[in-house]
Amino acid sequence: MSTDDETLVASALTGHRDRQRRLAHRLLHCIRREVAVMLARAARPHGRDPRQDVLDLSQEVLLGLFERDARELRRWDPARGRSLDSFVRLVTRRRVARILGQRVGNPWADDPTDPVDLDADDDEPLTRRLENRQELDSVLVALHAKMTVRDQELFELVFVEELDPADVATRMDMTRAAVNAWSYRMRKFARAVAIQFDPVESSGDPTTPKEKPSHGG
Amino acid sequence: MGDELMRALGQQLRIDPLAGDDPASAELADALLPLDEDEEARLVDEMFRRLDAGELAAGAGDDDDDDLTEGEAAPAEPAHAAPVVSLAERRRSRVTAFVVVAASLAAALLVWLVMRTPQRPTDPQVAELPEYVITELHGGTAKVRAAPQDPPSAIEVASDATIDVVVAPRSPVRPPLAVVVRAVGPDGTATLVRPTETPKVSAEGVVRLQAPAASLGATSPGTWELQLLVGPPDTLPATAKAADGRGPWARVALQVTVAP
Repeated sequence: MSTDDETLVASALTGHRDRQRRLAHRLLHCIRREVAVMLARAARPHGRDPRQDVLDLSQEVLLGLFERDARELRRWDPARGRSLDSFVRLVTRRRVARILGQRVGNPWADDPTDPVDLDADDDEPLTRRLENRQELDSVLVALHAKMTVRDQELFELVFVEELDPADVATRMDMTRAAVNAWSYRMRKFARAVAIQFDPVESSGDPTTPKEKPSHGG
Repeated sequence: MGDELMRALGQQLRIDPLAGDDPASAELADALLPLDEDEEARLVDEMFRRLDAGELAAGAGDDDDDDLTEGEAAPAEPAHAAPVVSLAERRRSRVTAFVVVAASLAAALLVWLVMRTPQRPTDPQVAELPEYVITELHGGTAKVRAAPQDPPSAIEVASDATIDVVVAPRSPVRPPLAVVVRAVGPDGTATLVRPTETPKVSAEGVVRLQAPAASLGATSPGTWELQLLVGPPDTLPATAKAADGRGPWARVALQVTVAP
């Protein structure tokens, strides 16, 4: 954890332009790299200058951090143990995933999903098909577009780092029951998204928006 | 339910897609070659120009605060993503300009109407927020005390000092409460600061804030007046100008001199 970063952010949040500028320069490389990662996951169409894509999207992410009185930046809470770079990477993923949403389709707006499908116990065949079709990245991009930064933090702790729910609860200042409830909802939600990318379970083209599925309860 | 899928997604997220040896990965990795100073300055300048013009970034959504930790609510509809265009090619259409101008005029009219309307707090608790006083102030050398046993109202601190201040209401106040700081600098310029540190609030409305002086707005050497504005989160002012006048919040001022 860098206290320099804490000081830099705190001083930038006072609204002084020269300090905001310093912070923007400080974050630019981290943002550019995560933008490139997201572009790679989204398998963006060829024919554009990738360097220009990375620059344009990086500018959107930077603007998103500072706009509305730096509301997004103010969400960074170093007390949770997440570094500034790590926080900015999460913000970048979400922002870029949303911008890329038009290119990779809108799986949230496809056919209504049968609730029975969402509660199915065995998702191995679905997972294998997505892996074989190299669609896991597409599912991740679509998920990032819909998750808040807090959801992404939880996703990393629960499903990437695979921490014990009790540890996650401590890190995120939640109860263990709340972490479990979130995990359940995320599993259900991820499955609903994944189905849209699976030709077996999804009857239509995942890039064709139709109607929003129900993710409730 | 979904364990296999979540395992696969978690594993996929651990993979660095730029590390692949396919042409697309290599192309994107090349795109990350260091920017020259001019290129980087242009990007940052353009971003601040857009910020000053009040532009919002593409990809913002109305559901930014709705995470899945809250109830069973489904994620909202995705925001309409703006197409990414080259900075050099960015052009606003006349229609867009017209919409922006019309929206700005409507917003200005709304602000004007609101400012003409006398402010009437709607929440009885807000209307009755009692006076707050400093009960503890630490982090530097005391400069001014009302009485020897009282906490100081002015302190001198090092530039990297953490200020620890506790303010209490004259009568109990029900949380939730939040704090913003109106920092008036040595040159008289006022800025509104939302401390990144979350204040601790007791059940009776006593607020403790521990934060670096810079986080509270005292960002450079000199004497600063830090006005802590305490109130329910949705009632606190959003700008330094709004914080200048009276409002449904309690105001406690302390003087902080940051040593050079």
